[in-house]
Amino acid sequence: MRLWGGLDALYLLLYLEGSIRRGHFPVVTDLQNMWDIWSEQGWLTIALMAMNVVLQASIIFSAALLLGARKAGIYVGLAQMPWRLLFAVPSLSVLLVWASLAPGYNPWLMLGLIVISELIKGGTLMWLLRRQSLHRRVAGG
Amino acid sequence: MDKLVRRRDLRKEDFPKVEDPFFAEWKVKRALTNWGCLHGRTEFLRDCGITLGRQLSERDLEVALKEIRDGRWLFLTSQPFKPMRLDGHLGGAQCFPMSGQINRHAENESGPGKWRTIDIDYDGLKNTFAILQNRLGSLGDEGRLFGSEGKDYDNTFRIVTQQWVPLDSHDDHLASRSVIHRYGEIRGITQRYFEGEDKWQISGKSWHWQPALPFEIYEHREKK
Repeated sequence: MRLWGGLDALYLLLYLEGSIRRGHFPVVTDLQNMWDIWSEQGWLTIALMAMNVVLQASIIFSAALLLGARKAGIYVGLAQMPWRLLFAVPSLSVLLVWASLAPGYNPWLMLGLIVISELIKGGTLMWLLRRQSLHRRVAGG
Repeated sequence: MDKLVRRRDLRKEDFPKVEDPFFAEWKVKRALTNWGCLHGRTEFLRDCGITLGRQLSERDLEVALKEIRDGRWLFLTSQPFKPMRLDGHLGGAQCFPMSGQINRHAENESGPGKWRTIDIDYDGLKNTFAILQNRLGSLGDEGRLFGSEGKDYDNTFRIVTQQWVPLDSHDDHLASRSVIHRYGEIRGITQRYFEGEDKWQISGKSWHWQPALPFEIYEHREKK
């Protein structure tokens, strides 16, 4: 569990570091830019982008909860999965490091790796969930 | 005579007379303080909760002008300095009156005029696919949220519908140069969002909808 929390934390750190390096105010600059662009886009596009922003915000929570080995983190992590697949936001955040170092990466290969990593994450989280409830049943006698 | 109306009471035929709130504010201020000609003044002041029949205080004036600034009350004049665009889109960047408004002329009539934007339709499904594809290509972009740069919206499309309408009083001097079309005729122009030349930017480029279309376009006859 802590491993996935750590990877989420890494994801957030990568964002913060990159944002500052660009000379941006993290999150604020991005949201301002988005708002400007959205004034000339359709509602479906805006809704899509807004959903991505919500996903990104949820990673702050999943990072904290999973690192703290809190059960709620498992639920947040599982809920994130379909959105991570839709917006190609890998839990295996090291994939992003690879993408930035090798700009000519094959996007479909990357998507495939993201799908596989999300399935592994989903599997481990479900397993943890089942193990926790098993422990509770055993402890409850 | 200049007139004040509630936004919800605005009639379609009055759309071209609406002054942009920014300029309406000082015009209304002048009319109120100098007791100039202004239709609907009484109802407007009553609606703002201002007692009639006495000199307007600073506070009263501020309350009244806020209604103009916020667009709840609109200032109509025969020759607005900057006609207000009216609609419900986000940010007000694409605002325009509905197609039925130019009914001063019979539907079969043709004449000089201009193309006015009456609708913008985004291809939701196609644009969604384009955006998700852009996302896959931007995984290496560190330090920014997806959707914060123009390139994330690359290859999205929209169709701008324009209608041929008669010239207004401020541009009827162009009538002699204008081509003739049937009033009410519709045309659709597909725009694509991509990076193009922009002399206003330091880099010389910007992301915007192209071909660029103003809210109103004139079509002139070719010189023989």
